[in-house]
Amino acid sequence: MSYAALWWTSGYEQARIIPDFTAAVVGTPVHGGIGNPYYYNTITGIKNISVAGGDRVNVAITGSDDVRAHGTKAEGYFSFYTPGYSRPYGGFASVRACRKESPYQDIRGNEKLTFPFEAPGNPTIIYIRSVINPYDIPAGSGPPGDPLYVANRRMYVWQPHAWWGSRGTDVMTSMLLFSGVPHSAFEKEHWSNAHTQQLQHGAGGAVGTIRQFYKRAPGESVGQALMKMARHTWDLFSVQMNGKLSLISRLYPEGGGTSIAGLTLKDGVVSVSCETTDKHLVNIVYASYGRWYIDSRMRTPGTSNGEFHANIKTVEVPTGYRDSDGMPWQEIENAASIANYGKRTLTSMKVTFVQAGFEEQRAGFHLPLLSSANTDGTWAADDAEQSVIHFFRRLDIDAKPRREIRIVQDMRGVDYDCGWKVANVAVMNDGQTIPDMRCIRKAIDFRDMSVTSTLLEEPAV
Amino acid sequence: MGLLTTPQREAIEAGNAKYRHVWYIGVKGVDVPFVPVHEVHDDAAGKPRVLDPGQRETEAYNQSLAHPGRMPTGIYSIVCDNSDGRFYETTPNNFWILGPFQHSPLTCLLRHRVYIMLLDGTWSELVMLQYIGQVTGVDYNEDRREATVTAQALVVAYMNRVWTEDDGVLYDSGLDVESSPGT
Repeated sequence: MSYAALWWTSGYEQARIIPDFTAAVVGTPVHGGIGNPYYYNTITGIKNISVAGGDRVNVAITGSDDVRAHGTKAEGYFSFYTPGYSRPYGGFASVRACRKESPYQDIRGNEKLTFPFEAPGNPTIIYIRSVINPYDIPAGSGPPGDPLYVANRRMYVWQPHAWWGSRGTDVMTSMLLFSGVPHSAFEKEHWSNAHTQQLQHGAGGAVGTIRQFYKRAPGESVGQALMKMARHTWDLFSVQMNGKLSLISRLYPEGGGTSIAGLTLKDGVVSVSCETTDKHLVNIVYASYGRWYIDSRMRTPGTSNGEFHANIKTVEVPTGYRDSDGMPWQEIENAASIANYGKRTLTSMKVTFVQAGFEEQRAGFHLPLLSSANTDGTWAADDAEQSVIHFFRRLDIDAKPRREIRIVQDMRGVDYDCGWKVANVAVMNDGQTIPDMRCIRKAIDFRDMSVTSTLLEEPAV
Repeated sequence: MGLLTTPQREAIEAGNAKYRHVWYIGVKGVDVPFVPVHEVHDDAAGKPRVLDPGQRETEAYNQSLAHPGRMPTGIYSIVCDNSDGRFYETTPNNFWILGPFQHSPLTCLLRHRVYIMLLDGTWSELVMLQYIGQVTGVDYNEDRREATVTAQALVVAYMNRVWTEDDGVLYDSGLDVESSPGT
């Protein structure tokens, strides 16, 4: 039996995969009497399941460890317990892939996936935030004679290579873990701190959510995707001296144990050179964000219209500039910096704007992975606009010239790593102390056991 | 609080600190990043086989909006004495025989550990420099009987993975969320 025709809304053309599930086998409610009952559905023939390492996996849905599913890649199916009622997952549910036998181990049998990366035993789970597309099967779609199939039912299709998260770290971690990168390859404390601090991107440092979405693009490497995502954050992304992958919070490096309190000539300094550079200076940005929005409209069970899609479309924002494709752009500038240094436009692409009936070419900077979902089913302009306003609080840093110091030390130079904050740097003969610098480059020469570091001044936000 | 321990810092500050390098060839084990099989070199024992310990560089990406910087490759090369031929794949008992099997060097890992002698005379590892890399090539200089072993950080090998249309999973195009690429 195939429900393929019911599975996708035809306009979205997602059906290069046409799931061919054979039937839904429904047991009795497994948690009858405890809130709303959960039912057990089996979906077979789904061919888009991709789990590195094979093995039987479990899939759990966010917010409820009781919602479990299992299946194998070889068997080609995943099955889900689904709530017996419509539940607003906001268009997405997060899944974690883990071993059936030990749900707190990952699919490779490593220690459980935790996020932030905490000690085993802490129940905090890292979710591989793959997109799940749910579909409600209308009443009457089930096999004749199956009374439970008369009821509405929800099926889920896991899109393993599309990830969405409320922070860039969600998405980056999902990519990496899905690629089979072991925990030991991360600097976990750094990563966790960045995860926490990415909520502080809001205006004035307010807590805000910068939702981001990425789907795998054939031909692109994992590293390229990670770099794209890193560009959507404030954080410094690097391979550390020990070869581990690190994401260090720009806003609160102290929280990840990635700062030292001072650096003077007494710290084994062999030589110093310094320049004031404007290569980082920008003060005017025409920014666009998002290529997609997340359509989280709930389908009303029992009705034949409406859908519950993890679907992505060009955003609709009523304010700001629009390019010739209708994409929204906003102008963000730092007036004080423009007064001092002239207009320094950030550019990554040329954009043709359409304003009041005429076209205009400008330089633009695109953040395609920023997106925002409204769980109330509407698409309000304020969410998306806030994303970009919050993000470009960073312009307060980037609108200033900065000092860059190249310093050679003896092995005391390994006291701090790439991406670290180096506070109170006093190595110049002018007697000045620079309160905050970040190490952006590092070279360890084992021939003479010397360490060359490049420090970039970090102006106060 | 930096990465150096107080005794390590004291040893460096005292001047003429003594360092010890150890390199291994190994493999990745189940849930273990590195299983050492051959010790290539240890400053504290045996023949000093590594002639040039090389250098490692790293760079932070996303330095600023205007100048993001580069993502480092984690590449590390060492030049080794190959006068006894142990780096040749064809030599018996070479470094690429791991367990009962002959391996391609490209399936092997290189590990580098650095120690400093503390003031009390004991070795202390500079763990921030502990490196594990996937061997990406061995270059033989026949005139000098040297072999240059090049590796890249293990995590970079994961990051170099390229998503393909199929990705080993039937019908998984990666394009199933949206009909157009869009980025």
